[in-house]
Amino acid sequence: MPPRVSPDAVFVNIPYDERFRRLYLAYIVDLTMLGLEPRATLGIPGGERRLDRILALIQSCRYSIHDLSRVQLDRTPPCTPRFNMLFELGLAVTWAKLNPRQHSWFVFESRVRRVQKSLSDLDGTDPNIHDGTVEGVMQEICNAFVRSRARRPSVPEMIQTYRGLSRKLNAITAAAGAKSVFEARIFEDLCFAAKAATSRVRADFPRIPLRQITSRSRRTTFTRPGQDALQ
Amino acid sequence: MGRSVYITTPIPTLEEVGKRLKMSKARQQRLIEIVRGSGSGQFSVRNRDASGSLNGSSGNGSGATGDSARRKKSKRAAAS
Repeated sequence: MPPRVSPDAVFVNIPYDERFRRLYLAYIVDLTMLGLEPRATLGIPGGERRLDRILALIQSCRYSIHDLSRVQLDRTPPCTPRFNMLFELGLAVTWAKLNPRQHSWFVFESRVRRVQKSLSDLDGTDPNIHDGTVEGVMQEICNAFVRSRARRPSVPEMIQTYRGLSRKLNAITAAAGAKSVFEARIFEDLCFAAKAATSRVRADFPRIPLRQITSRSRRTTFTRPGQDALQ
Repeated sequence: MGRSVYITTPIPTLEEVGKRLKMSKARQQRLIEIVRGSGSGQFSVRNRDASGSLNGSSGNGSGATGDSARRKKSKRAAAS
């Protein structure tokens, strides 16, 4: 019997490697700020029951995000592509086909039209392209998950939360005695810390609508009403 | 595949998130202290004024934003 579906849970199917660290944090921050509950396969032990547990995890989530950014060959010998994410996408698609009211899935990619080549079976579905950037992930998450205007966090709020949490990442990892951010305990800590940081950021943005967002080099500028726009 | 979904469920509070993650109060408190604690990692709001320079760092112990803007300004003035 499948587990009970949690209406806020999102199965996050992303690569766990250091090069993906920034986007990993961005996914956690964005989903938490939207009031969703990120869940990942981190912490699921290997062995015979692993597949059952992954399937149970997908079944317990109302949504799933599958980031197919890492389709290239892994440098570590033997050089192979990663099939785990595609495999889990297959499980999610099947589960959603059988239970369309209980599961919705999204494909995220860093490059335009690459999915059409790497996974042509998905022709007819539009992946969310994030260009491999934190801002891109935030925009695409906001496109995929829509909240009413009153409760919707803005991308500048998300960026601010992300930056604050990013600075604390090493402290959080060290406090937990972990070696990597890709550990189950750190994942939980980051979900909670993102929520705590959100409260902090929301206090900095007291109900003032942000009218204009302008990026200059790697900085984002927030312009408030009554203030002149960038020249 | 859902292109976009509309979420209507309420946004959980920090306490609810902690409970959902089955975290102890001590662990929650430790994380809150790390995230909200004073120091160089605090959050700051940066605004650009009409001249395009950054100002208005708030509550940031490092004060890096205002300082760097001021340094750039003085460099520009010295160059001209």
